[in-house]
Amino acid sequence: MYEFNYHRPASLKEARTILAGASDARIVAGGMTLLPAMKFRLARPSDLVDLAHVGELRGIREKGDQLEIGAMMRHAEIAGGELVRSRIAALADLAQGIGDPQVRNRGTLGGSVANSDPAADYPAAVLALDAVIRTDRRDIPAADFFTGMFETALAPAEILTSVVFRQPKRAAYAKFPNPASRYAVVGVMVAEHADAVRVAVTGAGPRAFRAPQLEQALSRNFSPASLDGLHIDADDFNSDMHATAEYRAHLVLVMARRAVAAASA
Amino acid sequence: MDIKGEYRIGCERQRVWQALNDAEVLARCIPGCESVDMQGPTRLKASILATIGPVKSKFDTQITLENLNPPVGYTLTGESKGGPAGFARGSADVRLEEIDDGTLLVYDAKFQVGGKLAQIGSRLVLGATRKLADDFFGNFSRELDPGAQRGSEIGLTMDQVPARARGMLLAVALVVVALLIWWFLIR
Repeated sequence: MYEFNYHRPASLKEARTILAGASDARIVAGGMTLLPAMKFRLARPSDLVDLAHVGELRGIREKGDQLEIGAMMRHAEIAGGELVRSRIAALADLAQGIGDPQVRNRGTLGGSVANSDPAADYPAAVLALDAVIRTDRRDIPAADFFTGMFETALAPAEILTSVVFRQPKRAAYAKFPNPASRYAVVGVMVAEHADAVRVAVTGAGPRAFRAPQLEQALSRNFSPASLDGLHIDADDFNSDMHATAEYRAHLVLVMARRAVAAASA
Repeated sequence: MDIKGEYRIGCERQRVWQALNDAEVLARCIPGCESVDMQGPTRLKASILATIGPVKSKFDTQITLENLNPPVGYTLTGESKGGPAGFARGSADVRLEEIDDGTLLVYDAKFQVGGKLAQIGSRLVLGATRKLADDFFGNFSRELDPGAQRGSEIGLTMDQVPARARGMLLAVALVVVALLIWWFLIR
């Protein structure tokens, strides 16, 4: 291992001070992506700021029709939490489907969202559940947050503190997982809110995105059959050894139908 | 693996050719490029700090220009070393065609990867390459015509065709490929 300075602040304030004083610091949440990158020497930060002991970043709170989940909540805690299960079961299901038990016990909501991996599951929930990303300096609407592959609206050293999800009338997440990693080859979250239906897709393109075409069809009639005959344009989709862009486009509709069926059940 | 692409650049061929042969211009346009050393009239060495997601790594890229046929085109060959990450090497044929409203830049790049890179497929190469291509050609077009960024009608315009085949000049593409090892190894 090469040398770096390891910090474990106990508060946001302390974390900010450390970040401001380091030459090339990285924030580590669960470390599920950053640590492998460091092992391969593809990242060599001067300082690691571990947020595991920052109490302000933990907890799950209900406020009206909103559920605010702290950035450092682990996937397993979200999957197993009574409050999440009873209010937004689709979100608990999504968390339960991430990676393996090791990843679910280390990986965090905030880490996944801030990383904006094109195949991560949470970004679909952030978009479909009309979430607000809360940071140490501002609130960012979901629509403005994911800006590209591994790119978000977060400024350098800005700390994601929590994600505020809106409770839908009904919702479900369906994904076609990579059999080895459980990352989404394609994942679709469908959520019916009082005012609109939201459909968000992950795994297919460079970043998670909403599918307005599917939203319109489902707004008219929330049933799997509403999606028959629709066509998804594969132009900007990912293509790799697991699936071509065209196959991913096909999977978007298949997963959307499954999610609608699951939400209706 | 192959990456092909075409870009329309709204200015005359001679100017595009000169810019493509100017190490300083290339250094300013390649995202993350920290330095370019000319090691001869047709050889240059670039140090590129590539940042994608959790990855932030420095790659030394050696580039040689061959088959020079001004102002019609050349072949770029290059090798990018990322330390323990492995290496990528390849070549790209770059051709400039005169068209009604400027110049059509066409390139066809072929890669070989080695070291840890050898086992990886093409996951995300397209997406990552597309983004870097946009950055590079955006910078390149503004370099040729600073007014372009204002979006004025007389400014330089850049359309990419076809969208699915968009890519990037070799030097940057090699770096992208190298970055992707990490991606494969953790999945």
